[in-house]
Amino acid sequence: MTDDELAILIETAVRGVDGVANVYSALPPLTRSARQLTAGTVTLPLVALARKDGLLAVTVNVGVSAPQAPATASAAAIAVRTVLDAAGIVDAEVIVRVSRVHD
Amino acid sequence: MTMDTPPPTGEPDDVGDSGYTLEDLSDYSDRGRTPAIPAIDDNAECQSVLASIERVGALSRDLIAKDAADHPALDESWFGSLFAAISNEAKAGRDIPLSSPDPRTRLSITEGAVRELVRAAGDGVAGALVGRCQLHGDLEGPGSGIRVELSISVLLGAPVHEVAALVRQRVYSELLAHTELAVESVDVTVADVHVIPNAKGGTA
Repeated sequence: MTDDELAILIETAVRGVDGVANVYSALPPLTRSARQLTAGTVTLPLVALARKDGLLAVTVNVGVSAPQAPATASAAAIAVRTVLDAAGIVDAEVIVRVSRVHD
Repeated sequence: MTMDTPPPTGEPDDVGDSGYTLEDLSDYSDRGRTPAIPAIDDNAECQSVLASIERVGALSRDLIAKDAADHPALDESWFGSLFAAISNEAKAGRDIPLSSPDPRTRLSITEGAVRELVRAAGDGVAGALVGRCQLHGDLEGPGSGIRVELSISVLLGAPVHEVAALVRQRVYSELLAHTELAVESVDVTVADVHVIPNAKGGTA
């Protein structure tokens, strides 16, 4: 499985979490623009995957609409962890950032 | 700016490093967000600014279309500075930690999201319009006390004390629900009064 495929699986799982209203790009805009130039018309995943010293770090930026952002962020992290476990990745850092709280 | 035009990069006044300025976002909103621009739609800071633009947009269009002399409190320049403040406040800023039981997981809410939350809570009070919102204190330290400062404009004739108290209450309860910040105070300053033109051209 490629990183982009994994990122898309994670994005889909997070979108399915109760209270997650949207997923926003976790890649820095310039990096994303540069990657989009090489990717052409293929839509890039919004979830960022990075490797440092062999350790995978997954960053997801979410917008939440549930009554409590912390609980939703926690549920989103569990959804990410479930996808990683299924992919056999047990030692990863998961970063969930609430970027917006929707009306 | 259109979809065919690649966004310029590194502009000092662009929103969320998207390459799109406040004016571009305003135009995008006016066009009903079509054609879709992924660089805006996928950018949380742009979406925050768009939400604010659209929340106060109807009011601003009404006021600007009228004779400014009839509306001395809120004129075009007032809205100009309001949108500049919104754009500035939408910056993601610092990550404010949320607790996580898993040491391999980091949860946070951005400073920009909290400011948007505060602004939306204030704007949601009938008769109030938030002008500026600031967060003071150590946002990144767990349990650190913070102070929220916001200025509002109040609809002419509305009970100023009650509106300000409601804003304070709503902001406090939203922060309590969505963050783990220890809010020491919510300071609300009534900086302006405004009127809303009604459909018949009078004021309400």
